[in-house]
Amino acid sequence: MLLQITPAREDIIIARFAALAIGIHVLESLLPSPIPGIKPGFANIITLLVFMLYGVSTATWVSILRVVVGSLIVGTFLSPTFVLSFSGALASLLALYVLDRFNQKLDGESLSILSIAIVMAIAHMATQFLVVYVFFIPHNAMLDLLPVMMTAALIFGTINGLITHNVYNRIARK
Amino acid sequence: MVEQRIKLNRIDWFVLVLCVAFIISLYVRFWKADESAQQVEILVQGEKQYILDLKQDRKITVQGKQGESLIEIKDGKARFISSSCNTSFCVRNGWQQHGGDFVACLPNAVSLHLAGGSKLYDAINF
Repeated sequence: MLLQITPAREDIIIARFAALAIGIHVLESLLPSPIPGIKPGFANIITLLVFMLYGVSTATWVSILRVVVGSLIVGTFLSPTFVLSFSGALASLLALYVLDRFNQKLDGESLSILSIAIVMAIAHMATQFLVVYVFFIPHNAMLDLLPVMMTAALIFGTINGLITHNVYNRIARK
Repeated sequence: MVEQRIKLNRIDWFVLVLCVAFIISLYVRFWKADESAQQVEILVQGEKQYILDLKQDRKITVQGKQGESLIEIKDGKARFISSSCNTSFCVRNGWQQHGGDFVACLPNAVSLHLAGGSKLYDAINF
């Protein structure tokens, strides 16, 4: 018996964007980081872009697939790195979901992608920090790092938000 | 190439100001000056021998496993001046002044634990 699966249009969209995000995720894991835990998170640009183009559920799929498949390729699946990556992704998706709901409630005005990117970055970093502090390094000295980590999240959230804005405009004009 | 600049509305500014304020509050909360320790505990071979007030300047000689260790307390700080060991790591560690600070001379089995202040914790877990 031949089992045939016909991918829906959404499946193809998810697969293509997830592949793009996984590529960025893997390339980024090769970059050395000056401080452990600080990473630009450029793969999140794809999540944001998919959110703007297709909505929050498609973005969730792309983000989760990116974390799972990306970790399989890099070789960190189910390791602490993966736990951090996954919890951060879930937190930022939750933030995205809440902000999306918030935007729908508003009439006329709505949060720009820049604000959404920054809030997601902060949610991501805060959750990762919490997981590290509770499960991996429950040492008070860690708390000294928190302000630095959050500042990095703010900076990279801003950069990613602006990149997403520009990429979206170029796509939307076509 | 004409790029469409990002437009921020009132709600955006509100969220951005909130984020920046949150991060500034983190700096205020976690980067304020450490509170200094109040007391120093001197342990010899794992047992508490002295609990001394850091406000009282004094020098004390402690009999350890191998010989004597000379410890100085001054201006709310404590240090090893000398110890009966070859490496002198304890002496090179210098002054300790924050709650939770710790310095030990392992060969002589003498250690200083600073207690009090905001950063006191019971154990360090790696």
